[in-house]
Amino acid sequence: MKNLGDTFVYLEQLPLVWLFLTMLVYICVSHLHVRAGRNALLNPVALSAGIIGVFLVLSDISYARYFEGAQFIHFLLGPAIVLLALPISIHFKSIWNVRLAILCSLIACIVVSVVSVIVLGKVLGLEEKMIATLAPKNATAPIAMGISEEIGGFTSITAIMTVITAIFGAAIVSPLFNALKLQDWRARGFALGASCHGIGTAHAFTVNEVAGTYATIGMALSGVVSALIIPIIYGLLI
Amino acid sequence: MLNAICFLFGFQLFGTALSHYFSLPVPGPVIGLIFFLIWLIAGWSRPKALDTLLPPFMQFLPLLFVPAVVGIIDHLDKIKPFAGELVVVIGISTVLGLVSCVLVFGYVASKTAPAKGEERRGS
Repeated sequence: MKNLGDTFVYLEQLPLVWLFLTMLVYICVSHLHVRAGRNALLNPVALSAGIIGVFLVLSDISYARYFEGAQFIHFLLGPAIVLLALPISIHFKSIWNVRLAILCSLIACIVVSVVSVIVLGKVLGLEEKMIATLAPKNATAPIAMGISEEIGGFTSITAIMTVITAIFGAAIVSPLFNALKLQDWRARGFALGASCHGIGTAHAFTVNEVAGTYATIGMALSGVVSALIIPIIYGLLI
Repeated sequence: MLNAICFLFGFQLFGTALSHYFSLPVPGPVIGLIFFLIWLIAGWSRPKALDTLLPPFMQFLPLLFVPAVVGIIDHLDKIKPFAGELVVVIGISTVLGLVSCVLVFGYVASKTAPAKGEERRGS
């Protein structure tokens, strides 16, 4: 029989450990989240990533090594995004009926997010490069990075900002919209997808299917329209 | 089930190929989504298992983002110097974006196509 330390060193090099840990932590955290009445502070994505992140830092394991195992989960994002076309096709008629609301609210959302980033950034004295880094935070990470590069931000930090934005948005959205007494799942979902892309959309599906469907549309359109109008707005205000 | 999974990978691969070939800023899976949507709206047949795959997939969708989010640990030192400002800017701007979007959508939709049935949240 080998000693326990040896066995741990052996296991730690297998992708299986990180795959299992990620799933286990997520499952426990989601149960906790549901039991706590979907408390915003216990957002499953943020809390799971936080627990795993602290564990990796404390045990001095690099993210690259963790990702060797966790990439199998990450890889499923691709087909999962493609599959999101199915709920859109199911609800296509009712989506087409609200195309005007989609168009108007999408433009309002993007303009308000970008203008508020620029104004707040200037008020707080952030340097211009940092404002450009934050400006496309409502778009999905790959698109946001492209916009950031175009207007002169730090692309890698932009990717992190989009993630922080989405986690924050997904965590506060239910209490925020409940406080505003909003009953329309279409509007609630669309706003979340348009502001908080993939993580927001994933959250929307766990709450309500109609909300998730509209969030998907919000995410896709927000990415494309952001790429078109954020550089223009940024150019006008900076 | 195998047909369904292969079907999804096929669209993802096609989208990724297009994204790369035309140097598009839109990620491959999103282009795959758009083409799959065209396929569905055109009414062409699809593997039946896709419909059974949908609900469980949607339930654990957030899990799929966890590995990427953990990646923040590699960048903590880069954002630390502006942490306070970032929290304020992201917090306020995200709330304003969400609220303006949901209010405009709600207003326009209430004039054109009010929410009904499953689209309304039961109170």
